[in-house]
Amino acid sequence: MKKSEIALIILAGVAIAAMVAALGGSGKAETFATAFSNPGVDYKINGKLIREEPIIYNPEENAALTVFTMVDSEGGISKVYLNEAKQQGFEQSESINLFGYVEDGKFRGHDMQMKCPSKYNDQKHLIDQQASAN
Amino acid sequence: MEYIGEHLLPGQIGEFFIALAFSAAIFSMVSYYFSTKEESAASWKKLGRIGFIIHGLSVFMVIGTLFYLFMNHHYEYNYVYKYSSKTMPMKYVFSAFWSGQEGSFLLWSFWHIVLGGLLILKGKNWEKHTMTILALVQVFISSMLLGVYFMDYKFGSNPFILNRELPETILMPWASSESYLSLLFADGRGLNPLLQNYWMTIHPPTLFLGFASTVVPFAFAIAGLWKRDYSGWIKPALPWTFFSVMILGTGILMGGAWAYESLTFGGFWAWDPVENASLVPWIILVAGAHIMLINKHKPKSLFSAFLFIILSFIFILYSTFLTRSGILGESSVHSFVESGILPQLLIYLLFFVGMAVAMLHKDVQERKIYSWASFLIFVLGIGLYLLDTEAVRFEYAPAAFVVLFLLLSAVYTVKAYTKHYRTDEDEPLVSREFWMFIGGLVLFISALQITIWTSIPVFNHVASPFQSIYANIANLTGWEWAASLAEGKLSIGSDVVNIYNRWQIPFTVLITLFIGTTQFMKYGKNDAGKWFKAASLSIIISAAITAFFLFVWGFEDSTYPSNYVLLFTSIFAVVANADYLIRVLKGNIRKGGSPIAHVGFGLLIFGALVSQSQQDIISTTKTTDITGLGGGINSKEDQLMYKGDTLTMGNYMTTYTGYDSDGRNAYYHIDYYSQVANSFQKDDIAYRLIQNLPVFFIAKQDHTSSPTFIEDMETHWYPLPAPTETQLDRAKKWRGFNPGEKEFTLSPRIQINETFGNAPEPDTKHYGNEDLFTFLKFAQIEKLKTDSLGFLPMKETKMILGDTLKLTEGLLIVDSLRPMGEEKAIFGFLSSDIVLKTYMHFTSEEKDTLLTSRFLVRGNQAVGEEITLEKEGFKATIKLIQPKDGTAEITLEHAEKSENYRDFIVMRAVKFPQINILWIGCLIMILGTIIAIIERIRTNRIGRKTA
Repeated sequence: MKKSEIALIILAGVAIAAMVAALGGSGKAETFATAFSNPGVDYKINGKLIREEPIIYNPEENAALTVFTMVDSEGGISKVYLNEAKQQGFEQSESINLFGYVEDGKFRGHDMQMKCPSKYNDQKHLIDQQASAN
Repeated sequence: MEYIGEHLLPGQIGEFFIALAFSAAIFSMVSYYFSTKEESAASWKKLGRIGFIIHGLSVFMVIGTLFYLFMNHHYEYNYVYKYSSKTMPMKYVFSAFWSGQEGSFLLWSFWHIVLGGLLILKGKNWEKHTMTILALVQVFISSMLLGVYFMDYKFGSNPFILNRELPETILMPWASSESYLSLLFADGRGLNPLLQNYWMTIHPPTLFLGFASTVVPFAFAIAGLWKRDYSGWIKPALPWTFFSVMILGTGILMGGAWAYESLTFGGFWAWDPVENASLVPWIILVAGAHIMLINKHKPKSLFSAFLFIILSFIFILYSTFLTRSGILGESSVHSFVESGILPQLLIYLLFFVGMAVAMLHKDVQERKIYSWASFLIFVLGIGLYLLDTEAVRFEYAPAAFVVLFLLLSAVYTVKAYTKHYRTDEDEPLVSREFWMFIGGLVLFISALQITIWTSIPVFNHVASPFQSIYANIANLTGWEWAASLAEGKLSIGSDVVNIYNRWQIPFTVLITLFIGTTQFMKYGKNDAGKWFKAASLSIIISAAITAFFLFVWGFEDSTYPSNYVLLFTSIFAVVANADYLIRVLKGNIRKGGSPIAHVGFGLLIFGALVSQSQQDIISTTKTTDITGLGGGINSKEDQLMYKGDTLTMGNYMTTYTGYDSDGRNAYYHIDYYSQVANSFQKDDIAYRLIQNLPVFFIAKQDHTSSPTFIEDMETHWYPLPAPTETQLDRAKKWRGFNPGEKEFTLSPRIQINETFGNAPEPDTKHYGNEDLFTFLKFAQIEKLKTDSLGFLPMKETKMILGDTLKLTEGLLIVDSLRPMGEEKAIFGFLSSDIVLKTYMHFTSEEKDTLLTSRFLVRGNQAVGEEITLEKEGFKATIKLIQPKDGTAEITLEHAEKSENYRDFIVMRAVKFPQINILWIGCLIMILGTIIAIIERIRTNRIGRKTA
């Protein structure tokens, strides 16, 4: 067998390992219901900020705590204690990826990615024009 | 009905040229195709050229028309409306132009046309074949701009569509009002402020030139297969390939520089899907380019050369598919909305996969079988999808048939390799070609790993037809990923960066090692002893430099132990290539493109390694604060700074001095001072806060303080348990430093934008050996709301007896509570009333005031008396008193005047050591590649002359 083929086989093995690791190590987008039934386990939750509920950020007391209410992809609602400063533009966010776990009956977030209206925006604003036109 | 104020002519011109561009591309492709076989090839070739020139001019017209619309603020056009406004400075018109999908396809097209022009001029006997492929690619790209409907399916999206013509708006009442334009679209929405910077002007054209340039090596590879000139294509394609490596690399690095300069994720690379999507083709292209070099010397691994060059182009298409189709959805922080061109992009991608796999077969019969089988799969997939009805579901047909097609293609690729390309000839172990080949494979695997992770959202889609299979696998094995996949919910965890780093660091170790070792090997068999002798000097020097960084400089990494190895190998890559350039090439720069580029790459990796792994978040605070809303866990990496306060941050003293705003940006100014050790005299009194209580000390003798109190406590201080009144007056909080000279001011800013959300932008102090990177986490932008007396909104605080409320001017302490007895009557209360008298006191440096108030409960109504501190600008009312845990809990509603409000910010400051080496490495790598390209073109030319 050629040396380069041996190398190829070894590297193919690495590639398969990468694949398995990717699958095995990956998380799952979950809901609050799952997180609350498994306290202490870290989950990723997709959802949206409920804008009607207050966003509490009181940096003078704790610069790294933002409290807000979020609805997950299946409609479950929970208050979130996010261990981070309130991000700029949070109120305008369109969707949220939240990472965290449940402790003492509270959902504690440790990481959040939010998606803001950006360059690839939809045309919703055009429909909103209706109100101003009528 | 006539709409008032619309300018329809430019749009019609634009649409005409889109159609012409599309038709001319088809015409050019067909003509070039016939020129490759017919007897009258010369006239076909001429037609092909004419077609391509018409195509090119049409695309330029489209681009010109769109610019015209932008310049003249014609907001009836959706594209102009969406990405520009009257207030947008005109210098950002380029950014606006390519910030949308249609504009970026035009930009891509533009570069393909420029490259096509060069191929026509310089392609010689490769022109006919390569231009057929390029024209074919242009057919696909132009179709993305068509915006025509075929039955219910939309092909492409046209940048000249009017706001009132969109499917979402066409039925809106305003769309049939003749004066809608002046009423609703007098101004555009404006460009996202994050895109309004010079990076957005230079980064996309560079990156898209990089994307576009990969088509040339691809076209040469396919042309080589087509002409059955399996190794002849390599020589003319090499300069193009390295040009592509250089430009695409530059584009990616510019993206990193942009992220570092104006985004706040705190670095230049975040493994975001969008970044990965452009990195993967580059890595594969680099692998392909190196394997081409081997084959130019001795054509032994042609298959990998074909495979990698083809894949680099395929992965450009795949990355376009990922980022433009909307399939990434939630997984990227970049927002990509379904653009409706997913099927079109998918067909584009799969068509070229199919074409490449078919061409890899030298056997015409096999080509035909594969092509027909693919065609059948394609027709069945589309057919079933079209038959999808409520009664019989075929909604998953496309995904299932895509998987089937890819499996077939994989089988045929392996078949082509074993049948046509496999050789039994082995390379010697110590030879340049062997290790370059292995290096290529490692690069390829590294690219695969990134792709697999980035494609997780795609897996969910592709897996959808097989959900029951995955569910069964999950049931049998308990594998969680199978269960997730069955539900279409597989997703990457929160620790994205870590996941990539864990895999990519070892790959980078191997690559940097090969870069160092292989340079000292010649093509063909080498003597291992000689090789070691040549390399040993570099090994010794690199070991010495590594030792310096470990023991003198203080490199430390507990997260990734493999980084210690990378520290050595990256230094080794730099030193070995510098050594090669000096000792072997005798400093001949012209021949030194390769070692120079590799020195650059080594420096890039070294700079990235040191700046990232050794970064120091100097805004980290050491006190733990457990007050507030149940925040038990507390990250302390951000610093709260009140205006005017001086804080220690790393080796600076810092003061937040205030902000100013120009309406678009609010700049927050932070002064940085050097630290000067504090000096104390004998009998000075200092206190330290321990659990918020002062503990007093008295100085033993005159001394200059150390950075921390602990170091000085034993030698310089006595504890002072009971300070006297005069001692108390003299007491100052212990500080190790005083601010010295002001060194600089940084003004991180917040872009103010109501439409897109406010966005922070960093400000960085650059030094030769490190950067101080700072950005705001929080700042008060909105004007404070006050009532007519100047009070801020009321806050509610629950307090039990003995609790303290911190006010701006001092402390409010709740002392005691007493029900009023018979004296009630004197004050006019009823005998059935409950009146509670509360005693509080306010204490500050200046005074101590007793505050009493009464709280009346009559029936089910309760009312409290207002307490005010006129001078301190404070007022409070008791809302409720309830028993709690044997004492009383008082709910206090209170407010302070707005002049008491002290402006503050929450910020982060990070030191990135040696980050300049990263940027210098980038520049050297680009420079080396340019030198190599020039040299390659020169030798090719000489080769032709002598031949």
